[in-house]
Amino acid sequence: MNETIMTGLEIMGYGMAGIFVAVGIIMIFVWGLQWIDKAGKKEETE
Amino acid sequence: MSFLWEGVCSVTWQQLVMYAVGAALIWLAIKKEYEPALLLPMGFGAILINLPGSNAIMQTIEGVGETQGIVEWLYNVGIGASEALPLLLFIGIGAMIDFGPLLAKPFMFLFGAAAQIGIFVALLLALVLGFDLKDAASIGIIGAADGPTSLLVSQVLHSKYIGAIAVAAYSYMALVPIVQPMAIKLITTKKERSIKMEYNPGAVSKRTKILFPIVVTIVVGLIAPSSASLVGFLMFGNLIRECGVLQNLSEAAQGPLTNLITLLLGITISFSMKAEDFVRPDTLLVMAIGLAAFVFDTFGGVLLAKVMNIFLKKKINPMVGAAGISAFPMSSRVVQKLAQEENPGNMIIMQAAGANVAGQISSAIAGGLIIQLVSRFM
Repeated sequence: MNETIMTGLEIMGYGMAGIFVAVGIIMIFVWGLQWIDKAGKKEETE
Repeated sequence: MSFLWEGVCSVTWQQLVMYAVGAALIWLAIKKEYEPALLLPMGFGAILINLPGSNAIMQTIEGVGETQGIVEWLYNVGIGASEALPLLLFIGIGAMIDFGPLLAKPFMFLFGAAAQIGIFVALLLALVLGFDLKDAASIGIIGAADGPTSLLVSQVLHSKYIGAIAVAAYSYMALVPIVQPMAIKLITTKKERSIKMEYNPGAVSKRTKILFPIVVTIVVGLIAPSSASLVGFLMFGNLIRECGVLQNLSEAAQGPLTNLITLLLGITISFSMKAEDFVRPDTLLVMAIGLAAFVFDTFGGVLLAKVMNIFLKKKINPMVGAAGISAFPMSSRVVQKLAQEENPGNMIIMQAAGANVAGQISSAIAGGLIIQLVSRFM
C-alpha cells in the first residue's frame, strides 16, 4: 500500500511540476511579446 | 414464430439497467439541458447497443458468421485506432476559443495549472482504492473536466472503464454549476468572494495572437510529447481563427466540423457502455472518484489564489482560481454569477475567462503528462 501511495504521490509531483514548467515558459513568452509590442509602440510615438 | 420472442426473452437485468441509464441520460439532456449534444446521443446509443443481438455492434450469427456493427466500427476507427474523433473536436474547440483575456493577463495561466490538481488527487484516491495504475490514471483524468482529453487518455491507456469515464466526464461538466459553488463556498469566506478586481487589459497585438498557438504547440510538444496531438489540434484550430485569412475554415471548424464530430462522438462512445462492461460496482466508484476530482480541481485553483493574496497588494478574488478548470465557458459564468450574488455589480468574468481558457490548455498538457508518467511507472 505504501508503495502504491508513493507512486501516486510521485506522479502527482512530476505531473504538477510538468504543468507549471510548461505554463511558466508560455507565460514568459507572452510577456516577452507584450514587451516587444510596447517597445514598438513607444518607438512609433517618438 | 418463437424467433420473434427470442430478443425479448434474452434481455438480461444488466441490459435493463442500461436502458434505465440511457433513459436517464436522455432525460438529463432534454429536461435539464445538461450537455445535450453529447448526453442525448450517448443515452440513445446505450439503449441501441444493449438490445440483445443488436446489429449496431458486431454479432456472430449462426450459419452466417460475423456481421459488422456500425457503432462498433465507428468506435474502432474513430476512437480505438486513431483517437481521431476527440482530436478533431479539439480543432473546433480551438477555433471557438478567444485567448485574448488570457493573453492580456498571462498570470491567469497559473490558475489553469493549479486547477489540474484534482486529476492527481483522484489518481491517488483510485490507487488507494485498489485500481491498477492505468485505470487509476484514466479515472483521474476525469478531473481534466474535458471530455475529449478524458476519452483520449483512457483509450490510450486501454482502460476498461472508458464508458463510465466518458459518462462521468460529460455529466460532471454539465454539473459544474452545482458542484463548483458548493466547493468554493466550503473554502472561502463571503468577504473573499466579494473582492472586486480591476480589469485594465493591455491591447493584445495580432502578432501575439498568431504566434501564441505556434509557440504553445512547440513548448508543450517538447515538454510533454504525449500532449502534442491534443494541444497541437487545439492550437491549430485557434491559429485558423486568429490568422485572419482563413475565415471560411474557421467558421467551418466552429460550426459544421464541431457539430458533425459531436453528433458522431456521443453515439460512438456508447459502444463502451455495453451492459457487461458498465453494470458493475466499480462503475459507481469511478463516478464518485470523478466527482472528487472536480471538487479538488476547484480547491486547487482557489487555494493558489488565496496563497497569492498573502503577497499581493491588489487582492485576487479566489473564485477566479476555481475557473481554472477546463469546463469552458461554464466555469467562468458560474464564478461570475457567484461574484454577483455576493457583491452586486462585481464583474470578474474577464479574469475568470482568462483562467478558464488557461485550464483548457493545462488540461491537455496534463493529459499528455499522465500518459508519459504512467508508461514510465508501469
